[in-house]
Amino acid sequence: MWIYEKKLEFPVNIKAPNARLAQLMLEQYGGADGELGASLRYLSQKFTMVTPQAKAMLNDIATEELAHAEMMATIFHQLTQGLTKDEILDSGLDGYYVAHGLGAFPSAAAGAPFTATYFQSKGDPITDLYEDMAAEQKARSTYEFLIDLTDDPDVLAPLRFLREREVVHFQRFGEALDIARDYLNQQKYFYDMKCK
Amino acid sequence: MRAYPENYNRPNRPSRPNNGNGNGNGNGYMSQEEMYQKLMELDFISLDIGLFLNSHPTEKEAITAYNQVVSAADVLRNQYEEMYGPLCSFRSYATDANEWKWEQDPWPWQKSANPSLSGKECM
Repeated sequence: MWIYEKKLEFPVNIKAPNARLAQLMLEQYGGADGELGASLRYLSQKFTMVTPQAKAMLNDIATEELAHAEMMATIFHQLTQGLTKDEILDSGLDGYYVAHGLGAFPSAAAGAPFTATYFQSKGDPITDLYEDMAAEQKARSTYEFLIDLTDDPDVLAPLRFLREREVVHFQRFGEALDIARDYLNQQKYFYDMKCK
Repeated sequence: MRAYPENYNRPNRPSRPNNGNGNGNGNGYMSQEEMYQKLMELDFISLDIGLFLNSHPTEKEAITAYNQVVSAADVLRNQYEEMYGPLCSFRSYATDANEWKWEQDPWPWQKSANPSLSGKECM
């Protein structure tokens, strides 16, 4: 169950529309290493996670990632408000526009629609936590590439915030991995869900 | 928790900055935007300490800090909601007995809901 809170995790207030930037920002909304995939990955993996600490971490970071998906879609939305026909045509957003108008459709910057094949839910706590740590690093890289291509300070502020969260989540998943591994090493039998 | 009588009406008074974070002197006033941004800050701090506590559940100092921040946010959220309407789905009181304000603009993805950080960047 979730409670919706009527505020973003970090403010997004973008004054200047920018079609090219808007399209790039889609990557962290519905791209391979984007926030929607991150949230669904952790939300799915939590059911077979071991130890209370690691379960809590997956549950709570999944929840935060949902708020990050909202932030990225908000950045896209605000960047597309007030665009002219020529700006859409010249920027390369035209292909997106004919498919979705200015609606926020979960997809990658290069147009591939969001898909669950971007993540795994393997039912193995160690495998899943390693994937999660890798996912946080991939998202951090993506934010850094987005920051490289962004000049607008109104866009940079939330991007920097989101990049920093990837670093924190990586740290927290690393701690969860240590805790889960210690727990599994204490078990006398080899962990195998098929044997339970 | 506040208990609202049936004829409860939203008090029409300015907010005080005494939001429990130790900064308010009780004399100045916070604007709606300042309250909203302060609430964002406090909620973020408690969220982040909460993640830390998931993997460090016996860190007493962090638990104390967590409770202090949640308490400060609670005071400020109550003030904000009494003046400007509910912030949480099915957890906030409908603070105006005559009007359902949850659905009112701006929603968080709208520019006007968000404080501008221009000129406040960390260098």
